[in-house]
This record gives sequence, structure tokens and C-alpha cells, in this order.
Amino acid sequence: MRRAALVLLALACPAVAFAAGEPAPARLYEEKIQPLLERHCTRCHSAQEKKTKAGLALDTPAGWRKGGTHGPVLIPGDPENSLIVAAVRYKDAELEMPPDEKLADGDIRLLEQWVRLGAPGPAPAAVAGGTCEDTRPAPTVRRLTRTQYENTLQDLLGVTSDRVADLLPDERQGAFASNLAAPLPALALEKYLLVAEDVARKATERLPALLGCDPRRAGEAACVRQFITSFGARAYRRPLEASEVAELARVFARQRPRAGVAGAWRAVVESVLISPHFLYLPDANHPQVPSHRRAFARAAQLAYFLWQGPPDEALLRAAEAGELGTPEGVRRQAERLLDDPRGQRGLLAFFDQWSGLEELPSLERAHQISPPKFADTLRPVLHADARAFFLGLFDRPDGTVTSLFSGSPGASNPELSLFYREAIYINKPQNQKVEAGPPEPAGARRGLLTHPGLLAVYAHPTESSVVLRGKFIRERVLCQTLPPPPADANDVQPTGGKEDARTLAQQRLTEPRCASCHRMIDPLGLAFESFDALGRFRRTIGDRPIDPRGEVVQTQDADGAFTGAADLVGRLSGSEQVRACMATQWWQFALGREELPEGACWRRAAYERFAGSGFKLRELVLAIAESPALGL
Amino acid sequence: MIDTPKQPRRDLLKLGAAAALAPFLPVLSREAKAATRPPRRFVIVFNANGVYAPEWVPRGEGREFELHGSLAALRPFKADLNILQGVHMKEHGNHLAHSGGPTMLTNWSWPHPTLAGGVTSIDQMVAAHNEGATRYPSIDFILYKNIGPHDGMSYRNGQYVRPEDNPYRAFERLFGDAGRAAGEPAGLRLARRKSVLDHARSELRRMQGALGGPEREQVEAHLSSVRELERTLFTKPPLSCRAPAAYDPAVDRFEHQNFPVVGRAFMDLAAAALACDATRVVTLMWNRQASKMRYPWLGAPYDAINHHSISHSEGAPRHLCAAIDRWHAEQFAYLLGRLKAVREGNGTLLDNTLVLWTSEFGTWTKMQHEYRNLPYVLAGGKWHFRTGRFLRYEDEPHGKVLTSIVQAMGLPTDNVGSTRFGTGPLAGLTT
Repeated sequence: MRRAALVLLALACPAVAFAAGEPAPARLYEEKIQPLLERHCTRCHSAQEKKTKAGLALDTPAGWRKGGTHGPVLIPGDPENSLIVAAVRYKDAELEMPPDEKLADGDIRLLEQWVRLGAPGPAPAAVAGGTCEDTRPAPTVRRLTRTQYENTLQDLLGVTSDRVADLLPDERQGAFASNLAAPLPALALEKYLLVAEDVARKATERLPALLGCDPRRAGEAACVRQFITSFGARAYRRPLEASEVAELARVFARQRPRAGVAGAWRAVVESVLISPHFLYLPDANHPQVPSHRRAFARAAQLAYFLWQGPPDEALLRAAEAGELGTPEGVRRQAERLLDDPRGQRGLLAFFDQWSGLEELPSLERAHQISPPKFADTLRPVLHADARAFFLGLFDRPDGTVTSLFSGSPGASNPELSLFYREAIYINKPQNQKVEAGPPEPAGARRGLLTHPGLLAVYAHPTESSVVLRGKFIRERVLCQTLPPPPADANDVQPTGGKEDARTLAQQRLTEPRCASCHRMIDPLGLAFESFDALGRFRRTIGDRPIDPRGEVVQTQDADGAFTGAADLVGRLSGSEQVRACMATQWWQFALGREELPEGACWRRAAYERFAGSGFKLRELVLAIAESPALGL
Repeated sequence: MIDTPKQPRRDLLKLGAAAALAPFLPVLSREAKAATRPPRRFVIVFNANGVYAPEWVPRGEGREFELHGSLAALRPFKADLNILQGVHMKEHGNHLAHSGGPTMLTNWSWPHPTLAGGVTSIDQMVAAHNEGATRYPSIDFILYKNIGPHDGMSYRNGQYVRPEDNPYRAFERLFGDAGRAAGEPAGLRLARRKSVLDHARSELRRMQGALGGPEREQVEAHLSSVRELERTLFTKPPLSCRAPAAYDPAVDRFEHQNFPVVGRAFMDLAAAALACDATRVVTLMWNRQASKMRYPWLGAPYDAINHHSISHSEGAPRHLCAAIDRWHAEQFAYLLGRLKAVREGNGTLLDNTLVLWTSEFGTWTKMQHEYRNLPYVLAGGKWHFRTGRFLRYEDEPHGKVLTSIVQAMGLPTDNVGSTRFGTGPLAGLTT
């Protein structure tokens, strides 16, 4: 018996389209709501320290989505059940806000409308007032991600360790790995130590080369100091203070009598590799960074963004020479870094995390639909193919957002084209029979969203998933926030194995609580029903034909009817909202933060450069790398 | 009204600092051995998605009850148990349908906007209470991890306590000697580790002096992790300590089919770590909230079945849910058996241990998640609880169970987490 359990996210999404004449949601926040909240609410309810009364911060989308000690402050799309609306209406004497005086009726209506529209935050790349200097993002300190840590070991010592896999998983900010200021537990520290020991042990094999001097010739103490000075500078991403050199030299001296040169050298390397100066990456404008180190911190930021690894000596020299103090100097280095082979590491880290394709190498698919080859051969091939397509966009003159979504990805690999051009079906019992289906029609696929790897990631083990695919587009391609499920949401819709995905989607529309969000999500997902859980093209599901029609709603500029995935992709690939979203995603990646509350002015400047290039991805990445919003 | 947490982070940090003054003292477990009574330990076993009530809930009440169906495997331990029904995770408030996990052991709704920095789960409260007495404040294991970093159950000062998922690495940490494999004398490595961690500490201290605000707190937390790690690395296990067989790293621990082997390795390690007094607190998560773990060894069709999905589906899968519950009861019985097999003083290790087995959802009859009737099995803890009973309650807040537990573990507190639904221990457990 076949049982399909399809995820049903009953989300409280804005159900009501805004009436003509009202400001569009994208501007509503900046023009009306933000000033209103600032006038009446955020004096007591802001994310700033000591101003977060009742645990509620109304100055960031994260804050109002999270709510306060009284629970959720608003239910997007549902003003009648939202605490904030009840409070400003003064209906309950226990909870009247603002406490001193009731809001004007017009303001109350505005808040109601805002909640009804899903409580949108600032539009991507929003235009803020004031000069750019006033709106720089507040600085943070991040701990290196696993990828950055491993790349750093590789670049510094030329070795890595399988123990990197044991490091504790990274935190997430939106789609992206980012360890923002979270205390380091002892277990995490122990794992770092074990990796450092393994790496230092392996590196002793190359000790003479890594030392860079001959202890017998140069004298041991001098040679060790020289090593500490140069290795330390690359590991800490700045010249070491004399006291730091002395302290590491003492570590060497203490170990030297019993452990010999190699053992003492290991102690120095291990000390550096678990040092807070190594593990933590402060923004260049962080108060923790003294002014004489700012240029070096800026260099580190550039390198950990574009390379996901440490600055090389050339970049540190440029920082030392003050070259990063000028826009031209930063541009020269940003371009050099991006064009270096290590530049691929940054691009791919973004791509894998943003697209979710990082899950592909370990993706489990049901045995009865998956050829044995899928796990062993095809997963890596699919992954490599999608990555090559993305990287290719940075070399080509037409490497724009539009070509990401509407270009034709790879399929040059014979293995792969056999897989999805000829559409091998093996949905037979016990995987016994393998037969080739009819070839895929030309034009069935268009751009990244129809790449089989991506379609396979957004699917269930046995079934395609309308909801996962639709949700991916809403969140990562259109940058829309889907609120969490309401109180009694049941996340699985039992099917009994009879109904097809379209029927189920229609059932969700009959339940208002579900419908408000699923009318946004499901039509987008249904467009991709011609592709199964492995991303293979299909003409029918069972013996039912697939209806490829649908309509995009609730976007800024991509609304309208479509027939099939390629047609939908066409709508999206020309959308301004999609381009702005791509920029937002890159900013989140670069800053390691999901919320981008300040620095909108800088983001606008970067966006203008991006737009001026005809939306070339390369220009976007460089514009962010070079933007003063990233530091300095 | 704003509740305040009972264990502010600063106190815990101070505790850590006090303990760190003497990181190289002789092992306290030796003193414990010499003392009149063995130390008291606390174990939590978690598996997700609640349990199917008709097969699980014992028949009868009080001392007269029958373990049948899913819990049949616990019959040999009947005299050690308290099984509870009628306890409700009220604090969770049900505002997010699948997020009971973090409330389960903290009694705070989650994410808690203002108290995040102070929220501590009961296992970590007990660990902090025993801070410095053992190499590890707690040892935390997990098998199957859904995607998502924050669907955990243990928190210390608002930070998710990340469990170890690799039984081989866990063995290595507890009983192995990683340096030996590299052909290096253990003494050399020990000396090197000391100077490496000394160096880290002096760097952190310098940073600490130059910082203020949240960064300073972060550095302080990092420093206390250095101290904790020193205690872990430089405290020698007592000679009497017997290591279990090491996990074979060639067995793929991510493969669902291998979970019984992985789970057994973790349980063996847990029993050994407690017996050695390497820690006094162990948590074992078979999975995380709303787990999609499959149970292919139960004969379930591999692809169609994941636990979360069948716990929602109408009809046929009930017997599969019950089979899963029964299997977990067998595992729990195995763990109790391991604890009972260790002689300690005049009794067994189980006599000196309180074991809690629970889930983030209740015992259910209709195919949907509930926060009522949480499945609680308490084993051991006889120094505090009267045991050998099945106790029915009327809609009691689950914070009371947590309070009873920490009181059993010697904490002088009459409340855990929120006070919204009442304070104090659950009536009738000690009498």
C-alpha cells in the first residue's frame, strides 16, 4: 500500500489582497508603520538594551515575529486575534497600549491593515533617509564556520583532518551558516583541540618547509620567533604584538626539553589554532578592534567572505600599506580574490547554502524510486553539475540573475543526461525492471529551478513536494517571510494514497487557516509537478495527466497566470523582486545575519551598481565586498 | 508579571569559577567512594512523538497495576518505577504545534524572549549542582538528528547543550587515549595540553580586561569552558573503572538500520560513565522532537514509515506506533538492567540513580499530538520517592514533576521555570 504523507503547513499568511489606493506592502512599513512604531512604541519595546519591556522588540521583524512575555504579539494576516491590535484598541483594561494615550483611529486602522497584510518588514534594499555614514550595520563578532575553519587549516598548514566533521554544527542565520556571538561550550572547545592536535601532528611531516628557516643555521630561538611571527600573523590575520610572540615562544620553550623541536612546535601550532584570536572574526568597525588593526580586520572580512578562508600574505600586505583605505584599493583586492581559484569557495558556499543543494550529497531517497546509482554516482554528479552552472555565471558576460533562473544548466555529463534526458523509470516492484521512458520534451526545463538536483532536494523520500518547492521560491527567491504554523496546525495531511497533489492543494484552500498561506505556496509548487522526487521529468502521475497551469499571486511584480514550470520561471526571472531578493540573500551571507536593519543606504548603493551592470552576479558580489557597510 | 529564572547565569558562572580554583585536585570520586553513601546520579532518556496510549498506559492504579503491551519489557523493574498519567505541559501553551521539546525540561515557553540567557533545563540544573565533582558536568548523547540546530531539550544558561552524536568519539573521550594511536606517550600529550590551554586562558584574560557588555560575557563563558575542559582532560578516571567495548567506527551511525547498535553503545557508555563517576548526569536523546526516525528493524516498510508521519496517519499505522513504543521500552529496560548490574555499596547503581524516560508529546489515542498526559516513567530515586506505583493525576502542570525531580537530586528549590501554573513538587510521589 502506498501512503503519501504530504507536509501541510497551515500558515497564517496574509489572506486579503490590499485594496487599490492603499500603499503597497513593500512601502507600507517604511512610510507608515515604522514612523508610527517609533512615535508610540519603540521607546519601551525595542531590541536595544534596557528598552525591551515585556521582552518585546517592535523595531525589527524578528522582534515582532517572536513576540514577548505575553506570547506572540501578532498573528500575521489575523488582526482580530493579534495582541497588538487588542492592546491599541483599549478593549481590555489590563492591556492598554500605548499606556499614556490611545492612538488615533487612523493609526489603529493602519496597524490593523499592517497585521492583515502579514506584518511586512522593510523591503529588500530599502531606501533609508540620512547619510550612509549614519546607517552602518552594528558590528558583530562571529566564530568561524566549519567550512571557514577547515579552509583556514588547509591554507595555513596544507593539511586538514577528518575530525573537522566532529566539530559542532554551525548556527544558522536565514539560509546561511553563521556563528554569531554564542558562548562556546566546553564540548565545542574540546573538538577544536582534537582537530588542532590532529592537524599539528600531520603537519610535523612538513616541518622544515613550514618553519621557513633552519634552526641549526639561524639558531633555534630566532628561527622559532620567525615562525611565530609569520604563522601567527596569518592565523590571527594581523601582525602579532610583541607580547603575543613572547608568550607563544614561552609555550615552545616550556615543551622543548621533553618534547623536542617537533613536539614543542606542535604545542605552538595547537595554541594558535584554539586561540580566540583565531576562532573569532570581529567586524572591522567593532569596538573590540583597536584602530591600528582595523585595516587587517577589513582584510579578514574580505577573505572570509570571498574565500571562506584566511587572507593571504598579499592581502595582509595591502592592509598594512593602507591600500584598503581607498575604494580603488579595496576594489583591486576584491577582484583579485574573486578571480583567484579560492574565489570559488566563497561562491559555492553561498550557492550550496542558499539553494539548499548542500543537502544533496547526503540526500536519502526511497529505494523503490531510486536507482542504486543515485546515491553512489548521481548525487555527486548532480551536485557538481549545478555548481558548475552557477560558477559559470561568474565567467560569462551574460552571467546575470536572469540567466541563473532562465539559462540552461549543464547536462553535459553523459551519466546525467542519460538520467534525466531519457528519464529512466524504475518505479517497478523490487527495482527489478528498468525501462527507459520517452525522451524529455525540449523546453521542459529552464534555469536553476528546474535543475534535477534542486528538485530532488525539495521533495519527500518517495514523492515530489508541492509545499517544499513552493516554500523555497517564496522564501529564498522572493524573500517573503512565511510565518510559523498557527496554534492547532497539524503538519501532515493524511492522504490515504488516493488524491493527487493538486486535489490536496485544493483541499487546503477550503480551510481558511491553511488557505491564507497555501494560496501563495502551492501554485508555485504545482508548477513543478512534472518532475518527480529525483527531479526526473514525467508526463503523468500514475495514470493521471499533470495539469501544469497556475497563477502567481502576492508578489510585487511577477503576478499572473502561467502554464508549466518554464513559463513560471520566465515570470520570475524578469522580476525586480527576485533581483532585489538575490541581493538581500548575498548581504545576509556576507554579514552572517538574517536581519539587515541598518545600512540600507549602503545596500542601495551596491544595488545600484548591480542594476547598472544589468544585474550581473559578479558585480553584485564585488559591490558587497567593496561596500563600506562590510566594515571600515 | 514577569517570572525570573531560578538560576541566573552569573551564579552559574561563579560556580564554575569556584570549581576552577582547584582543577587539579585529586578526583572527588575517590572521596565519594570513601564517603558513607555513593553519589546520586540522574539520567534522562528521550524519544519523540509521544506514545500510543491504549497499548502503553498501565492497567490498574497505585501499587496494583499491570504493565502490558508496550511496557511489558519493564515488568522486571516494576518495583523501581513510578509511572505518571495526567500531567500536562501547560506552559508550552501550544502556540507552535511541534515545539514542545525545549519546554519539556525547562518549563519555559520557547523561544523565551527575555529569559533566553537564564533558562536552564533540569539536567543542567543538577549538573551545575554537582559542578566540579566529576570530570564531566553532564554527558549528553543523541542518535538521530532532524535538520535544524535548535530543537533540543537541554539548555544551560539559555544555550542549547549540544549532545555528542558519535559513539566512537564518545568512547575515545571517556576511556580512550587518542594520543596513543599517534604513537605519542600520554605524558607528553598531557603536558602539551596543559600549556596549550594555559596559553588560551591567558589570551582570554587579556581580552576580558579590554571588553565590556555582551562580548565580555562571551569571553567569560569561553574561559569557563577552558576550565571545564581542563577538568575533563586532566582528571584521571579511577582505576576500578571498566570501559565497555569500543564502538566500531565502521558501522555507519547515520544509517537508520544501525540505530539499535548505536543506541546500545551509548547506553553502555552511559552506564560505565556513571559507574566510574565520570559524570553524574547523562542525557540520551534517541532523536529530536517530531522525529522522523525510521525503524526498519521492526519490519516497517523502509520508505513509507517515519515515526512522525505515522503518528499522524489514520488507521493502520497504530500497531506500528505501538511496536515502536514497545521497542523503546525494551531499550529502556536494557539501560535499567545495565544500571542494576553494577554493585555499589549495599545495593546497585540503579539504587543511586534517578532515571526519567519521557517524550515531548503526550500519550495519545487520536492520531494527533497533544501536550496532555505526558508519558513519564521514573525509575530509581528510591532515596526520595516511594516506588512501584502507577499514579493518575488530574491535569497537573508538568513543572511540578520537574520540581519533584530536582528536589530528589538535592536541589533546594520549590520551582522549576515558570510559576504561571503553580509551584512546588507533585503531590504523592514521596509518600
